[in-house]
Amino acid sequence: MGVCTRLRDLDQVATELGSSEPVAVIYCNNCVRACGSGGEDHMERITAGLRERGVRIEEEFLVTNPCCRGFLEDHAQASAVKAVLIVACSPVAYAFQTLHPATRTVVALETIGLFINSKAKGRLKLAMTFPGYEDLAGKEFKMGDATTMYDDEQIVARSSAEVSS
Amino acid sequence: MIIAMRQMTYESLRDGLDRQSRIIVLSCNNCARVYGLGGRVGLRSLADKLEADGFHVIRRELVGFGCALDLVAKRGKDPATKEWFDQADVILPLACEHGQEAIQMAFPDKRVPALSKTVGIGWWRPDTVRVTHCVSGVDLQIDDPQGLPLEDVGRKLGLEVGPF
Repeated sequence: MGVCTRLRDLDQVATELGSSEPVAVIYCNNCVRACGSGGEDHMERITAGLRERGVRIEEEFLVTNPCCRGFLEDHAQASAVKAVLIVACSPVAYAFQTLHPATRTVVALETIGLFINSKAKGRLKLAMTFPGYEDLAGKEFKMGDATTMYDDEQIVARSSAEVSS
Repeated sequence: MIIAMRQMTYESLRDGLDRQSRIIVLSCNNCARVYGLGGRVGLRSLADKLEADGFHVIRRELVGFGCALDLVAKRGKDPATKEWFDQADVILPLACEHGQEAIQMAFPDKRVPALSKTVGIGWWRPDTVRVTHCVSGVDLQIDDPQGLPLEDVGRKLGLEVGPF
């Protein structure tokens, strides 16, 4: 409950993963559910979308709370593949890299900020942002779909280069 | 997980409270439990100190997610807790800034002091909590996947670690 993420463009993610190596996918099932950027309900869609783009997905793991590194430590088989896709916020990718430094790690989500939520109202409010997303601070989103702002206006996606500059 | 840290010492908090106030200590039991400010341990630590110093702590309340407005607001409506929240003058939030905001939104007529500052997000395991990404406005660059331990972040930003 708290970290706001958004699914990156699957074409770009697939390009970064390539089609020559077997890939394992680690799905978070925590904050991402509220944002609609991952979790159990979106596993099939994301995996299928990447396979359509030629990515060789061999394993999928749904992890309740992967920012607790202990949950990642339970997935030692992830080190048997050359590349891993993390469908979670950026710290999870960092935690994974500390466990498997030789495994190529790609992150499927953009980590935008921190949200406060009202389930009754079905709304998320982006209360804080990370660098590069400051203009989105205070925006509200539909629960389960962080790509939609309060007035159904779409968030303008940034390229990785723009965000890091 | 979200990581926040204390903005003040216990003594600073104590000196800013009125001994006549009816106080509720309300803690998040999710992230705040992990970074040490809240949870059962943090809740007990602060409430015990306040009572020992003669303050009128009328209730100790634990909420699963401090940032979930519905859960917080429910405390003011549920017959089991409403009476205490009606009586309170001050609610001390052991949560991140989102939790503080949720509590103030749910109880706009109560004084809700800002006790913590949200620094960013990170990962954890039972023996350590690491900050890997800071929110905008926090002047700390972290490039190492290992992140920075809370103690180092606290030292660099002038914030306190752990429970009151």
